[in-house]
Amino acid sequence: MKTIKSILGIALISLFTLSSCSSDDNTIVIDNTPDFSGTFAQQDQMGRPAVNTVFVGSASKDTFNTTIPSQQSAAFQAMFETNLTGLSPAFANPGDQNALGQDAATFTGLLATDVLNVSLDGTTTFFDGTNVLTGRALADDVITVELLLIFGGEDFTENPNLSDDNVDANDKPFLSSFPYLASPW
Amino acid sequence: MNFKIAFQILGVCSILMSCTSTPSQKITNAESYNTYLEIAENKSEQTANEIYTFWTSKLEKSPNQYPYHAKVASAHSQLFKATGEISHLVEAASHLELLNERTKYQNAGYIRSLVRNYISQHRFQEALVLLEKAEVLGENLQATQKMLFDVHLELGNVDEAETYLNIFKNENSFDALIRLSKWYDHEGNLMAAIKAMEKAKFKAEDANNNYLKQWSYTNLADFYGHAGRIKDAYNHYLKALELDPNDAYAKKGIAWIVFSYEKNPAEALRILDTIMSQHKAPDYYLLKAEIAEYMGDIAEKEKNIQTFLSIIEDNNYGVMYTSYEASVLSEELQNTSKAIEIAQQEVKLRPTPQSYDLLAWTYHLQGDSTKALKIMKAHVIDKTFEPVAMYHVAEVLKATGNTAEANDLKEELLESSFEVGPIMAEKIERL
Amino acid sequence: MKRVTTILGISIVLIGSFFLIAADHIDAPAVQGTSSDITDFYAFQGEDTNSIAFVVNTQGLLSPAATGNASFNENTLIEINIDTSGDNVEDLVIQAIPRGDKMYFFGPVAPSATGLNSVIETSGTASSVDITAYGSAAITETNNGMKFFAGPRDDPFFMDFAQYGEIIAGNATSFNDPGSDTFAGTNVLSIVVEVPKSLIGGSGTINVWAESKGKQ
Repeated sequence: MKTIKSILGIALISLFTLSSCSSDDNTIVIDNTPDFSGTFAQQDQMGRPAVNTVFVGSASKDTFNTTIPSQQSAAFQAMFETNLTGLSPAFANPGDQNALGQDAATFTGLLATDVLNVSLDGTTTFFDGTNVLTGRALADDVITVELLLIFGGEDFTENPNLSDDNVDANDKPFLSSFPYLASPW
Repeated sequence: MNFKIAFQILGVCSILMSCTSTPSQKITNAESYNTYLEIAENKSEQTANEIYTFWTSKLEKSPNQYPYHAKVASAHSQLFKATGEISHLVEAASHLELLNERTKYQNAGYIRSLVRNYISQHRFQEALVLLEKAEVLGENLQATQKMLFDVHLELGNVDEAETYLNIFKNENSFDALIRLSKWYDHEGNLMAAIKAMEKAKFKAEDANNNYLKQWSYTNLADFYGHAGRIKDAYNHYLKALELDPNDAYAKKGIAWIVFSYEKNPAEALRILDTIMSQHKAPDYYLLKAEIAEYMGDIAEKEKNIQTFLSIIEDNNYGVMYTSYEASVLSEELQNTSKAIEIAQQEVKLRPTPQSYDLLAWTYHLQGDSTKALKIMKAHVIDKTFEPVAMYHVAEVLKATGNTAEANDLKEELLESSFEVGPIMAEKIERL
Repeated sequence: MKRVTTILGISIVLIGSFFLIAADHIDAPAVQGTSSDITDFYAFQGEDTNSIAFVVNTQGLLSPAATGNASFNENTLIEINIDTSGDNVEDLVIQAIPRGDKMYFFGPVAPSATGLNSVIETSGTASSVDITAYGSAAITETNNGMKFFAGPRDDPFFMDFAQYGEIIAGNATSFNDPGSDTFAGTNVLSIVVEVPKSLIGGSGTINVWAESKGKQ
């Protein structure tokens, strides 16, 4: 019968260690040089806001988060397009476009590569009426922009009930200087 | 005074004398743990209360914001952890159930939150059904797989548990290592269990995550206790208290060392009483009853047993304490027929070696040792290596005339006297 | 109910083993993995228009009371990836990793390997900043023309997340007006880096994304 032998063995050893144990076994090691060794493996990634939430089905989220951006379009554009046309009446019919003149395939081809495009030459904004996808500023109402592109149709007028969440600004003013984000509550 | 009562009971005094006259080496030092006992405020409770107030007021203002239910639930869980107040666990469940209904059980993360709650409530079968849903959904599948391992092991589905273990056993993560440790412990390989848990501890220290550090210190302390490394166990309970001076679990561990190893029941009771002023759990009363028995204070023992029984009448406890209830009914109140009913129910809900041991042991106490042995041979022997179950097996072997086998077990059980405590150690002695 | 037996000799063990109860009542902590989730990523021209500020947020929906106890995970590397050549493969990275009370930064530097696995590029420009404690004024640091911050901030994101979820789930057909900002009054743990444009391509358009990577 296999019993609790392993406990027995350790108990004997521990008797010995107990008697030799002193109370100063909490050596404090002062480490002046932090350890930066090791390999770090991908867990999560993000480019544009809410893309993952909206277009990636839960079964694909793990894979999406560990697919490098240069391969995302090939792997996920079709799924994005299916989800977009299923979700939005503004893309329900062939030939439907958003206000950027993109049809479902073009739009989802852009979205499936989840990177943020940033201009180094001037205004940086998700969308300000003039500039499109030149960055993402703190005050940008990115969700409404995305909703408009998804639901708003060719001229941003379709499905008004779905194309604005009616939350247009942060609840605390941003700072004009670094670190820009408001102090915590 | 308690000592006097003990002396009046023939046949017992000699045992008590031998216990008290040969004290074990003293390991604990009241000066180092008193600071934690004297902590007047429960900081975790205060913080959890503030968090609770914040999210409930937000939820009241915007009832459609269902993610807030997850936050209210989490505050309730923290309050349960900090105070032991069972209603918080049940409240947390109702928020999480609402959350999952709102999201039609399509959010794997929300499902896992509810499962964690059900596991705390010992509602393992419901947990399994939900995890199987989450497994289909994906979305952090590795987390679902790890919880499937947990629940299958709790349900006694050893093969299924091993299948999930095989998915992640080579993963060098905290989450994987603590489960590998649990698996080794389940197999009776304590050395390997300790090694894996020590690795997990290093991971938690590496991440500098206080909560995981605290968790691994107390779990490692338990393992060191199993292994008879009492000093190491004590030091790790202290390390947990350094991080959280209100850690009731770590304090209880120290109380056990003081009682079981140092044979100082009065000090153990003093520690327990300070814990109980901030943290509620029915099992404290069982521990107090056991200490009272050791001190020969039978009235005090009875009082604590009755308190335990009346507390667990609270429906909020669900099935969390049913196995203890069965033990108390059969061993203390000779109500074996009710105990068998409960044990059978426990076997149905959770067919683990521990549940079968409970059932077999109750049959034995009822006088049917042959039936007990039959159950043990089928479901307990070689399937669990916990000393209490082993002790039960030894008693049943002895009662059925298998003296040699019982004696073999006795020899080994004698080595686990710290972990089973002085009262049971004495039973083992008399096997 | 029968009386409790009063003879010590035949009473049997109640608890049996402290550690048996222990095994029952210490449930495993929540599986990690979500603690490294990136809640948001921003990139915008700084106050100094020759620079770009990057913001990476983690651990969203922190109530004020929970913020003081929230901390960065020392096993999680936050990496800002910068593609300057238009192929969506990173040409430069800026890495951030906490050690003790400090957040350490490396880069911008060409990574020794691109893709899913990273090592900390200690050959890149090394900088660090004290992690700002909750309740203290923001501590910032400058090095080599760059600025650094790490610590709790107000969550800059705003959205009626719940109503959006209801629409997706088919429980609702429209947003509310006014909507309700799910993230109002809550905090996040933020890393903010401001970098001269000259260090990340100079002009034209770059593609950027943030990653969290766990130590193996």
